[in-house]
Amino acid sequence: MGTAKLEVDEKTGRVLSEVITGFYHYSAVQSTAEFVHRMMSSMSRVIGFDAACWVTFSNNGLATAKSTVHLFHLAANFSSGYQPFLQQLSGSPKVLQGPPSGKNTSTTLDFFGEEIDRYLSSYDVQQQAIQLASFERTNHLLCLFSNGTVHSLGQQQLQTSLFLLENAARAFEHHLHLKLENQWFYEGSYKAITDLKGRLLASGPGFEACMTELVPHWQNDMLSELIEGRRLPAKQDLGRYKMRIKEENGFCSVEVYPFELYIEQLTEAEIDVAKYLIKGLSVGQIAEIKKLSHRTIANQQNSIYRKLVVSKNAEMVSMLVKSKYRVFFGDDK
Amino acid sequence: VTSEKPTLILTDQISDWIYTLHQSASNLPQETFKDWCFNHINSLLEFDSALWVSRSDMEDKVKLHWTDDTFLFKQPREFVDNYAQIDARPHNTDVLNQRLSEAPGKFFSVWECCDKAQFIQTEYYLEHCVKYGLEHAISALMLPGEFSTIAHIISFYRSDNTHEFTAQEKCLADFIFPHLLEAYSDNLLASFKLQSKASYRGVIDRFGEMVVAQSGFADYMEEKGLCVDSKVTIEVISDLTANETITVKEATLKLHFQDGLIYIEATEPSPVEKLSDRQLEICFFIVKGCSNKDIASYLELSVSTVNNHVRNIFGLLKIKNRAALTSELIRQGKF
Repeated sequence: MGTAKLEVDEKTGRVLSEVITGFYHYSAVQSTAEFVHRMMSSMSRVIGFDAACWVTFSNNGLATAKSTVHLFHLAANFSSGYQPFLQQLSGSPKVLQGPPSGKNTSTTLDFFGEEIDRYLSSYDVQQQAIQLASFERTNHLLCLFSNGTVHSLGQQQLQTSLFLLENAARAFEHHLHLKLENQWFYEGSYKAITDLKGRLLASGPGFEACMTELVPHWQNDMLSELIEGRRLPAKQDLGRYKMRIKEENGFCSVEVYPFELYIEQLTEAEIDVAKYLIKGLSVGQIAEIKKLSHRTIANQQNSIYRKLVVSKNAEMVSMLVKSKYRVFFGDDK
Repeated sequence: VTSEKPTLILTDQISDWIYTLHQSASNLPQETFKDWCFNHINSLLEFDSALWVSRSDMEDKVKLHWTDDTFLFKQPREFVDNYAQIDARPHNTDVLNQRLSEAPGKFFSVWECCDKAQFIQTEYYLEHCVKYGLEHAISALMLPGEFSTIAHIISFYRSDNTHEFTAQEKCLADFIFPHLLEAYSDNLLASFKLQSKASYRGVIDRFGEMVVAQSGFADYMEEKGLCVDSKVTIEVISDLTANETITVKEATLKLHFQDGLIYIEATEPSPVEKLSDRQLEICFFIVKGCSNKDIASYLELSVSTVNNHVRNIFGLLKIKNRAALTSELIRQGKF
């Protein structure tokens, strides 16, 4: 096993180039499921498989029942029965421990057993090949199936599909990076994408630094504890930060936002109103003290809620109290 | 000319090359991107200098100007003027231009379509190639999409006359060309400074041809009558080089001119902007969850006046109930 090296003629080169351009073109779509499906269907046009199953998992962990599985021309209930095989497969050192360099390696292996053949035949498919490509933080297992009689793939086809999968793995990382750049729930938050077990697949700038500051002895696998223990989507309070975890297409988007940044957006007048609000004064009372109309204060209260992304007074107060922000509680001196 | 069938060897290095290209496309500013690309290509393919032209409608305008739509890598600016002078004389480079449009996306060398002994006697060779060290050159033209009217021409040059481009190298250049175009359009869209989320983005050239557009841009412009056959009616823009915001036919166009391209961000003003102050005030209470009766008592109005106001607001925003109103107002960043 080693680095894929593929020799093709001029015409095939153009076709492959076109397919790979397509991968990157699709990578801008919002939905990861749609992205993976489009990649599989353009690969199927070049390599000739009838059905496929694509498993994505983090470099931190093996493929497990919770790994993300995308199916191509297979019934939705296919993956539940296929999982145990995958698990067995991913436990095999042959798959996950490539050459010692460990980076950018791929393995092609045939995985035939009677049990799996019986399972596959109930879905009218037969195994053609299983391939693995790794890149930076994600691993991708691509299982190719054919309908009816097995027409086994030739060496050249296997190498071609491996080369495409390698590029698809890169396009996938690119897709995750693009996702991180998109607008999320909170502006200016630190973002990461994990698998359903909370294993990190990609993180935006500053995420790890922020978590290191936030959690003593921070390690990337600690996200698993946070995510596994709770029902998704979830909002979690971590002192001066809030964490928002959302499940989407078999991935978790994790957003950490330091709300001190949000307090900085408040105008002086709004901070003044907020000071009264956390002391428990009503809008009417504040209006009276400041000799302003009820409307003005209510407007300011609303813009505070909007800027801090809170929905009610109690939430705002708890956020401000936790922030220990000096504007509200005097100087640090 | 070799009769051997050229082959292309695809390795990890190429996969990484493509990945890095796309990553950089979304991070690098537009001004430096083409320069970065050529440096990046240099890690796969050896060359001394290069050229990248992006422009619309090759047939008519190829001879008109070689100005700011030409990017030069390691060549002086006067390269363009010199070429234009020679090109203006009859029958000098016609055969090359013709070959370019014959086989899009395929790199060819000058020697493939000219007799070498004859070619080195031409003015083009003597006054241009010799002057700028273009002993060996491969060029190709490509349209980024089937219907695109924007053409890209890339040429690589070598000044060492013993170092010819091999068939393999041409093959490799063919392989990376589409990726360059894809990354280039990504880069153009990514270098937009967005005003609003609810907008369509597109980049056009000085003739109104779309260089790249976000999905929906062409449809939106067409719907507004600002675009015919995916060509933006450029007449609506009075000063092509100004950075301004104009309103035409109810569409707000934010224009930004840079390097011969016009970046357009088109936004439809939200109907929420049409609401009067009084109507907005009433909206505020609706969003808070007040009934018409409550609102009437807060604002010291009769209930039927409030009813009228609410009905007018619903009509203006083309919605049917209070929940839809609330979500629309919050989406538009009111309250």
